[in-house]
Amino acid sequence: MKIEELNSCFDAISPTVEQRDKMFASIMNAKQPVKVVRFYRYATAVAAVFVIGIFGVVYSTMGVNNVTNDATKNIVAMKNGEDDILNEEKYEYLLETVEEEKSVTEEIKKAYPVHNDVTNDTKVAVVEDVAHEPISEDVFTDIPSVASENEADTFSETGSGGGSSYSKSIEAETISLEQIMNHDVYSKLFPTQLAGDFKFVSANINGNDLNAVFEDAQGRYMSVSIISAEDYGVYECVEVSDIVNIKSQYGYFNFTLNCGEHYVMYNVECDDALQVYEMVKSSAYFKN
Amino acid sequence: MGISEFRTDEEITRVYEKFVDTVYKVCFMMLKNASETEDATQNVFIKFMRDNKVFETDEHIKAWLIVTAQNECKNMLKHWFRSKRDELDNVPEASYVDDDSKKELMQKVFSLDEKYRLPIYLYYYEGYSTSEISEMLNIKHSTIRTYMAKGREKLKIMLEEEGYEN
Repeated sequence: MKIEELNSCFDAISPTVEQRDKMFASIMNAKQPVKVVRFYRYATAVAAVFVIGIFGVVYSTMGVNNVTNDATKNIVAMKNGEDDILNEEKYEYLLETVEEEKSVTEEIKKAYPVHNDVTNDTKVAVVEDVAHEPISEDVFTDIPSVASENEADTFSETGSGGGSSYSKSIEAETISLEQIMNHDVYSKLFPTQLAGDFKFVSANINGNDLNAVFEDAQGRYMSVSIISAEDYGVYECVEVSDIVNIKSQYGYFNFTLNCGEHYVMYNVECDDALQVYEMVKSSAYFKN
Repeated sequence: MGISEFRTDEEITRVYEKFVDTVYKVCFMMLKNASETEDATQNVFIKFMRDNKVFETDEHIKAWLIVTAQNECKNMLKHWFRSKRDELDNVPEASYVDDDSKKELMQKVFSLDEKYRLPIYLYYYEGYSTSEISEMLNIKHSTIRTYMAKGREKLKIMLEEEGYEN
């Protein structure tokens, strides 16, 4: 066999003219989608950036509108001429709201001078002053004698008063829910009240409500009224004769109730803002 | 030739006209089937069209096309459908050859194993050296030389058995 013969065989393996044209047409057709795909890639990228931009603008606008509780921001927006966000009526309302908040804050500061100061050092000093002030005997006479016999004995030294004076002493605070939810107000009101042990003074159940009076570490008295105590499991006690103990830490109260035949312990967690609000609203100090 | 993501029509046309026969032959040597060879040839040139590689010479392009054709054919041969069908359709085509004696020779060549067939084609027809074939097919030089020797011997034996004049 000669190499020429072999090569002539290989020569014979060639595409026909029709096959060449057909293959070439297929190759050139395959080129078109490439351009289209490349175009779509760029178009998709541009569209994605565009959509993200629109979403960002819309989201930021929604964020401004959602701050309905923040009157200051809305007023600033109003002053900046964003009339589409607020109308005149709402503007007046927001101004009133701000004024009300300011007045309430002033009242709180007046009612609790201990927490008025801004710096922590001053605050501690004032607290100590209050703690060392002698407790007036009138305070004890205002406490109702609804505690257990043992506790009543304890207070027999100073005497126990009637229920009428008790109701005079406890006045619900007019603190708005927004203020309670504002952490600054919360921390001003509760830093010492929620710390340390509380000594039980007296308690009673009125319907489903639990009313109790406690003395804190600084000798101050506090009344706590838990509305709808049924929600917290107090209904398990047919009759509360005694609150054996109450401990408080940041975030929760821990009650121990003597229900006659058995003790009931339950916690009232204060991490929920509404719960804290209920407690603050229904608690008050007996002023020395 | 400049760098371009997609080659110009002129460049593709020129390369296609110049090397389509070579690519077609390589594919046919491996696939032994006209329709699949067409598909493989198309795919090779489409890959060339979409490749960014910068070629310095036409020889470089040719070598790239041969290697790409070989890989494309290997992929097609590995395909499950092809492997199943090949068992039934294991008859080499030689319809391009009119002369009976050449057709017989062609059938003998195609009856050789693939590993002998392609080196023989590249050596005798394309004129590549064994070292070039070794580099192109990514096979050791000594192995290529062995394939060449065994392929020639097998072909010789087959042709002698058929009474083909040496």
